[in-house]
Amino acid sequence: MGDAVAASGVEVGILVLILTAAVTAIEFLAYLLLVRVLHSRHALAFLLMLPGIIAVTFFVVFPIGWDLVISTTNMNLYHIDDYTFVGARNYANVFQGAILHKYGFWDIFLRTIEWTVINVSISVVLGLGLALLLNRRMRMGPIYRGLLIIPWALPQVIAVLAIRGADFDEEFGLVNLLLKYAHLGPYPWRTDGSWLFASAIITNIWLGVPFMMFILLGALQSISDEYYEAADIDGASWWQQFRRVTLPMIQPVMTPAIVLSVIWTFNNVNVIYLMSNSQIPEEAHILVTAVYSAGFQFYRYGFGAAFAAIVFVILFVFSAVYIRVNRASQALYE
Amino acid sequence: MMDKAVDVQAPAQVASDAIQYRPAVAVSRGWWRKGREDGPLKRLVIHAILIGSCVIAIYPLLQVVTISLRPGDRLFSTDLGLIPEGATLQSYSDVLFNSDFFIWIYNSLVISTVAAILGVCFAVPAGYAFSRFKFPGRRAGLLFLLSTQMIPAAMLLLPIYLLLFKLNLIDHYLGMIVAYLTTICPFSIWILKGYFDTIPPDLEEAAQVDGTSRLGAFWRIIIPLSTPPIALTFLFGFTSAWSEYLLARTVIQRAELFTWPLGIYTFQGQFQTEWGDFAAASFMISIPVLLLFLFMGRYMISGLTLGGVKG
Repeated sequence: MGDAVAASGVEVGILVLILTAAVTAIEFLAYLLLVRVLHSRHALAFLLMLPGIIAVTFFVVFPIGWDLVISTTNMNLYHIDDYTFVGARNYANVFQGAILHKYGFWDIFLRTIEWTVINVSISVVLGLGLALLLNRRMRMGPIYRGLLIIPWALPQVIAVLAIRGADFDEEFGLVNLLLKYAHLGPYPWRTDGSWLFASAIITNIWLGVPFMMFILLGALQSISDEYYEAADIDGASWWQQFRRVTLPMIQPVMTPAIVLSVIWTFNNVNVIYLMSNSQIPEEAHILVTAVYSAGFQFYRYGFGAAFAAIVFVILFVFSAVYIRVNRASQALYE
Repeated sequence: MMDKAVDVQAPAQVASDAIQYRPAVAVSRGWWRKGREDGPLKRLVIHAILIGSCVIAIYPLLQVVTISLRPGDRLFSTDLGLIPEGATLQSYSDVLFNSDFFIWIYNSLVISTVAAILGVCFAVPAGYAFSRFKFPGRRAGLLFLLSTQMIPAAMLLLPIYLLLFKLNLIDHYLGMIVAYLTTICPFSIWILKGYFDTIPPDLEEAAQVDGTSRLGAFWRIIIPLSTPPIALTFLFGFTSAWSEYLLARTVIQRAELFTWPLGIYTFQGQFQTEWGDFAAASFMISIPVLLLFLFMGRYMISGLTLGGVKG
């Protein structure tokens, strides 16, 4: 084991010591201030909150603020220390001209929507279908469930790299072999940006179905039999029961699951990045992967930071609308 | 930021809204059972669809096994059989004895463990305060925690990288731990708050009547009662850091400090032998993870849903 590893181990020890000392000291000062000086009613709550507040400020608020600061500067690989303030120029640049080489903001935005809608809708349909099939007494049920959870349980790096190499290889991949056998292919999954994007969508659906399936299966299992018995007595058909009983009953679970799935899919850098062997072709970029490339392949830090802030605002608006619309989550803060 | 973190974060929110959802019960109830069993043809079709889905779900893993067993001279082949011709364990011995496999695993273990422990330490008192106390700023704090779970990973990657660069923490465990705490901290607070909500406050009140202080009740009643949820929160943090790739790639450049996702990525070269090594390493890493999900999967799902039960 090398020196760097050993040195890093020592650092971790020092970090833990410093953190403990710092938190203790700050807690003590806060105790003096809140209890001895202010005689606050909320002293205990704030003292308990304090480590969390320190951590979140340091690890979350600070990076976000730093992103906003960088976004108003011309920081890049050549100006990493001597950057200057450029105002809103980076923000304007995001909407003018190409983000990387070819495509502008709105092209990539549209592709992101395409990516999100296709992935989420197919995952929901397949997940719900499988959940409906699994929601019955079957001797094989536990085995099916155990096998179907595998795409979710497998580490994403392994799953995506394996699928890329074993299934979407143009010469030896399973997909092209099958297509060739059926006289339908082969297709350039690796070399053509649009086909690569398609293969990333297929992979992402494979990864996303188990989550939907398990969440929805849980919801289905919590529906009481009585509803269906009553519907049977009224002579409701299979489809009527599904429309009038099943869907409304799983709605409180399905809506947030879909919203979440939208947020994850929108934010997913990993799948496209790993599918394209880190050189993402322009035709396969979505917003978050373009943010990544602007920062780490083009080294335009100021521009990348502004772009990231804009992407965050888009998601924030989406989430805010969702939180407002969804009363269930509002009730949580009562 | 982290692939599994992103996966794991969100169910807390699903849960938060899915108040009616209860963890899977052992006996499934379905409307088709009472009074009308499925006919044999319908059963056949259902099983056929499910078996087909299972095959699709496990096929890539089977391919990994096959490739890891192939002899070095025919790693890329059009042969689709499960056990390849001339199967050999050569790739496994390559990975175990001629690569830095154990160093990668060690690096990943140290980073994930420390990050997850620190996350839990920060989160337990804060989650308890959010669960039990009414104080000014509580609502704003909860909303802030909720919205941090919607921040795109790619968005924080850049400022974190530049911060770590300025602080000279690139190529250090410390940098990785700090970076992972960015997602682990808010998530752990959120999920532990949900757990504490499910513990009735009567318990602490009884303890206080018996003469202990509020803090004493927290320490002697709540913490021991919450060992399983705390362990589960640790596990969520751990798994999210354990299989994270993108952040590790930006923060770690020295091969000596590679975590295992960076390590197996180096096998992804164009050379034939490495493809077998990739498969062997992947399979060895997958097995413990899959076993964990097999035994803990139910607790993980039900644990995540607990996060939303209103206290």
